[in-house]
Amino acid sequence: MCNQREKLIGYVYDECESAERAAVQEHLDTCAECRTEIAALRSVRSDLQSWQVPDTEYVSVWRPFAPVAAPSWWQQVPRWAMAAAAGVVMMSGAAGGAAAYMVLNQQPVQASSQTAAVQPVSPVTVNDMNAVEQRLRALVKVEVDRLNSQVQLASSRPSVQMSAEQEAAFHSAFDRQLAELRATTESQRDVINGIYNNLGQIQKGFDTRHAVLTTRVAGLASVLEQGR
Amino acid sequence: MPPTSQTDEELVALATAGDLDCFNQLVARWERPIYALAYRTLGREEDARDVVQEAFLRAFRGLRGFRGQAKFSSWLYRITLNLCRDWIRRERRAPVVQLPEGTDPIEVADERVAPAESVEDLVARKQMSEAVARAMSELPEEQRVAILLKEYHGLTFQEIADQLDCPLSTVKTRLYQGLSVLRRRLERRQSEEAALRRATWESST
Repeated sequence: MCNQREKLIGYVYDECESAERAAVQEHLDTCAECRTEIAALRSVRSDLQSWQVPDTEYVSVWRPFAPVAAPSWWQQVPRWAMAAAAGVVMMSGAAGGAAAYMVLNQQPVQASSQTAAVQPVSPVTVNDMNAVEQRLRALVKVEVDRLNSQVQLASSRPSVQMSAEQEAAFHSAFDRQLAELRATTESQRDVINGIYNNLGQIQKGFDTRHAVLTTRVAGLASVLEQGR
Repeated sequence: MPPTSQTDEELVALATAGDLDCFNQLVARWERPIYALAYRTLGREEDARDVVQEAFLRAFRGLRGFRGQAKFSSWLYRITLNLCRDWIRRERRAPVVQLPEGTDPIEVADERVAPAESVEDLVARKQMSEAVARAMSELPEEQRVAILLKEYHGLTFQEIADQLDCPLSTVKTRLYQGLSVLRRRLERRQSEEAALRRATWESST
């Protein structure tokens, strides 16, 4: 055997450079052993082709996905516009929620210049949180319903294809609504800031109480240690 | 499903973007070759069908992770081979050879694979098919897989090397060794059959 396994395999499968192929061919002209080897490899390759897969009654194992309906026109609205609309809904929902929180607590908004003196803060109960959640849900529902009705109104247009004028009118109306919602959000920003200030003071009050208690506990521990 | 002229990679892109029917088309295009690979690797129709189903489910789940760094078919072959390997390890046994009960010439002739072929030739081919299946099942896994990918799926040496994570020269060696072993086994079988025929003829005369 001429130790030319790799070359012979490349030659048998016709997967070698033309120069290498020519070299193998030249070698085969003079080497009977390699000629026999090549014939044997080709013969076994031919035998291999008789191995059939029993697929005459093959039934697909795949359950095809149902075809997806063509998207309606509002699904073709640019993503940035959808994202902007979603953002506005979120912001107005949050603003409304913040307002609801204020109404629920019936506490005046603290001025930001007020000192961080510890105010008596009534603990928030589970019932309070549930009430806030109910209010938030109601506000979000109102906003979502309003937008849904607008979307449905727009979806009922007879044709998906809009003319340039219709498209311009649609964008103009959309921009106007966006501006209105932005203005509403701006007007509620002060309310939100007030809520944040309140929360900041509550946090500071908690920190102060925590520090005082920590000092007391340390003092008590020291007294106990001395008593031993 | 009507045939499509889109490439695999185009169908993958569309399927990833949400057009699930494109994935159906990929399945329709590749289900048979994947089944053939699984069947020849495992030797059982039922197991092969399970592997096909799992392979396409895995492919679907991993579609977003497929970045086109390889051909879709190569990726699918890899998933299938991994599943077959897992199956063999889990079952802790070698691939089996499924032998049909006897060889009925009428049944064989009904297959109409090659109309010009005589019944005797069809019987001989069926017997050879069984002999090849048995000889292949006895090969070491790395040689068997290399031969499967080359002979029945037409992969290049380099594509096989990529599938099996080994150098190109190793692929050639495995092919050479595998074919050599097969040749010896098939030749031995042929000489045994010839001896049997001779003995039968001598006893009948």
